[in-house]
Amino acid sequence: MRDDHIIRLIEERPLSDLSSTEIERINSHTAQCAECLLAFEAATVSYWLLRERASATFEPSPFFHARAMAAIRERGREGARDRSSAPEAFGFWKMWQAARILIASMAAAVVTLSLLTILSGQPQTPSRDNNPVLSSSVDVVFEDDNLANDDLTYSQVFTSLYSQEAEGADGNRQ
Amino acid sequence: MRRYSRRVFQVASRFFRQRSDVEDAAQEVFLRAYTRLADYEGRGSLEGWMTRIATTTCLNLLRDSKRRPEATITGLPEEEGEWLENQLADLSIERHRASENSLVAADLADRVLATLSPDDRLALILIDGAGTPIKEVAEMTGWSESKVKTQAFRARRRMREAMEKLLTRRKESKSEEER
Repeated sequence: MRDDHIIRLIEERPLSDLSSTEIERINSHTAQCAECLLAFEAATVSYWLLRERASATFEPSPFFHARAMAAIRERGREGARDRSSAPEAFGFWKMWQAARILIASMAAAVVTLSLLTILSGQPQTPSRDNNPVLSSSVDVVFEDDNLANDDLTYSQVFTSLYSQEAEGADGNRQ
Repeated sequence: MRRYSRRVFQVASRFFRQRSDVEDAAQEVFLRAYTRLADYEGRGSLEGWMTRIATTTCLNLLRDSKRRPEATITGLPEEEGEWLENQLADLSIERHRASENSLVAADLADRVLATLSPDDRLALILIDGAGTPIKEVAEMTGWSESKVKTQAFRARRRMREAMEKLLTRRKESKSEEER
């Protein structure tokens, strides 16, 4: 029967880190359990393979340094060419880096001032209430009687107007 | 460059099996180190800094070269099969036949590792293969120590499962031959 404790033991650390007691426990269990034996075999062979793989290293060949130095020199030349081929763009970029905060704050100030100007400078439309002379004269003409405004004739309107003015003049004299 | 080239080659050899690949990777490491030399702050040794650049560069090259790991191992050359059987005949952790057909073993290891992701390969070769401490692997890769442990745990499981399949198939074909 598969023992998860054994499986965990062979998975959580490299096999070389297992103590002799742990190895004995694994051996005694795998003697009766084919499934865990296969897992242990696979883990052990994997461990050996990894040891072999890690020990297989190459030394640099005698030509490697010359080759790598040539590549570095080439990279350096490419870098210099790139810098010299785009001096204007590079200059503009540096200038932008230096001045971007100033330019951004100036733009913000211009926008703020424009908004303030628009909001405070709106012309006020003259309303009836703000022009007492005009409104009073018109009101006086039409509040006179119960006739509908549309029914008044021109002569009635003029009569009414002149009589109001005449009364006003008499009142002022008194 | 001469001072660190052995170290860089050692790191690159753990990722790549062909000499030409190792040399290409090592050259890329020195190019990156040259372009990033201004980033070196003087904290820690220059060798440690180079090792970290070598590890991350090789890991990225491996990720770029192989986006998807091979699903399974399809057939083994005879010599690799024999190596496997010799090991199984005398199963013990202490015994390590380093001298016996180590090239065959390294090739077989690469075949099995090809079924794993580049991160799994790195964790296994460094920790289980080279015996590098967890802390050092964390410094080399830039991963946290807990990530290194988790990666190694999962990688060990995946490699064991791949190896179990290989061993089962090998045993089955052997028993068929005997019949």
